[in-house]
Amino acid sequence: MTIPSPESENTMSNLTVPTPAASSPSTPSHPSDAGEVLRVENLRKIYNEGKPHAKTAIDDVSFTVNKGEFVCIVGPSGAGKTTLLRCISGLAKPSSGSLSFEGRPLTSVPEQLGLVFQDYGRSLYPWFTNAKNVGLPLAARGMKKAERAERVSQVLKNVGLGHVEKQYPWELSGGMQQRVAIARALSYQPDLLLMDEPFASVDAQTRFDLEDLILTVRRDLGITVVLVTHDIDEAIYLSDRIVVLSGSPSRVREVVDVPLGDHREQVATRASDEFLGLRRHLLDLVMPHSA
Amino acid sequence: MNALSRRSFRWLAPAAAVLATLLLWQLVTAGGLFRADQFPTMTDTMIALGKAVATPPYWAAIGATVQAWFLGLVIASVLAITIGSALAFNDFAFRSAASVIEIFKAIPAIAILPLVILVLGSTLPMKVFLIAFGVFWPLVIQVIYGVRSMDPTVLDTSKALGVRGVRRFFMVVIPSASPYIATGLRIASASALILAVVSELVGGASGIGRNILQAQNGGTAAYPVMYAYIITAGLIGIILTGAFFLLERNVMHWHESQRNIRSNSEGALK
Ligand SMILES: Nc1ncnc2c1ncn2[C@@H]1O[C@H](COP(=O)(O)OP(=O)(O)O)[C@@H](O)[C@H]1O
Ligand SMILES: [Mg+2]
Repeated sequence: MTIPSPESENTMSNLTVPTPAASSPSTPSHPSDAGEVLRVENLRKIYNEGKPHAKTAIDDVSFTVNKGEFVCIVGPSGAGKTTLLRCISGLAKPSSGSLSFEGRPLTSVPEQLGLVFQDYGRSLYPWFTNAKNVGLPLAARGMKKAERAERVSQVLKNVGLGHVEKQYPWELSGGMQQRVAIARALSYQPDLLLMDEPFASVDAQTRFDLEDLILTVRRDLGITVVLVTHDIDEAIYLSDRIVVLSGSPSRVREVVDVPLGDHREQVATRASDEFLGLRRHLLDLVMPHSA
Repeated sequence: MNALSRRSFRWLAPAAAVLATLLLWQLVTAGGLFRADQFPTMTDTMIALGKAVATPPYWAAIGATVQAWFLGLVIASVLAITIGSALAFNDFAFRSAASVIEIFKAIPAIAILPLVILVLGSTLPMKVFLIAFGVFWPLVIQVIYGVRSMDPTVLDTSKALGVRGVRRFFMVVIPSASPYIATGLRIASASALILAVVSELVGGASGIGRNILQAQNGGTAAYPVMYAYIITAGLIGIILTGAFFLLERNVMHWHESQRNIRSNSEGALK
């Protein structure tokens, strides 16, 4: 026996028909740009829709990501960031709103999308060596064994790992495991890399190293990156643009441009006036009292 | 104590226990607590075993029993893994099938033995069917639990990486459920041997079980032979269990429980 809640209208049709105007003022209404990789419009996600314990995780989120951009999504813990990434990656179905990837409506996980999960310990397969883990998406794409082996060691080198091919993920440190997970997501050269709090569970030094690694990789490969984090400093350090989410259920509070240029250094960049100015602005945004 | 003497101690202690049991057997039988038609002496039994080992029928009997064990187990495993995974992924099918499986699991396989003999006779297919039937139900439940308890991140990862279909099944689903499947197989292996011997003993198909029965019918003089075959059945059980243990240690070496066993035993050798 289920009593449908008022919101539980036909999810399928809502997927492709964006809810009209009223919603978010930041929603761009023009058709997709040539350089647009991702478009999220009026996304709403309700877990257990229509059941008594329904939970709205995302209220209304819209933003776009252009080719080559590095966009961070910041929001407090429980804001619905993981849910948002799961929707963007096609792993979860939005309750309403529309999503498009490279101009096409997104229904399942696109081939050209790389995903790095928050919990690398569970997302790397312990029954495979690191090489097999990284090579798995390549095998799924039909790449021949010899080419695969070459690509695997190349991409492991790209993330600063050599000679871990024969080892198992659980034989590596947390930071190294996360590098393997990043290598795996990069191995098939995706157009868009999505990362869910990738550096949340490593120590500070490793975290700085990985942040710089991802900036290098992004510069070298010209890849588009969307990274979720709850850490404002990290968001500023990495991003070209920051999508600031409210608390649960999330809405977009503001989209902040980060004009810090291409070359960033942990010490100098974080001490610069621009950085500190942005930091103050973002703190104002996320601190509920100061609003 | 150094590592070497510790290691030899690990082997010596169980060997001594076995020896003590054999001696006790000899004492109670030769001492007159039992008559020879109740319980033969250890030495008579060992002599009978020694004689039997030298004859081809002994090995033929072992071969027949192990063959049925193997075929029944393989057929049940293949069916349980495919059907179990399919059921686990489909909520509706799972709910529908769950009660049926529970009912069939509750039927002792031996209860259908008369029926199977009637249909298939005292043949290898009869044994294999009985074993596969008896082993399938608990195994399929184990597979369903294994697949259903899969970490959602594991499945999401395979979706995100574009790993689909047969590749996802063999490279992700099965390894992820393998701890459950391994436990199921270990238990299934033991029950398969029991069912093999029972089907021979009761159903008259060739194998260790039938030889036990024949020896029993052979009168008091053949009792040591009967015990020789009983011991043989026990030894087969030990060997199969040991083989499974080694197989599991090898195939599941990556699993947390095996890793823990390894690091604990390293710690114990300090
Ligand atoms: N599978 C689920 N079923 C029901 N509620 C969920 C599920 N996943 C997340 N939630 C809820 O949605 C909210 C947002 O969760 P999440 O997206 O994980 O937030 P974040 O990643 O920002 O910490 C939380 O309140 C959480 O309890
Ligand atoms: Mg999260």
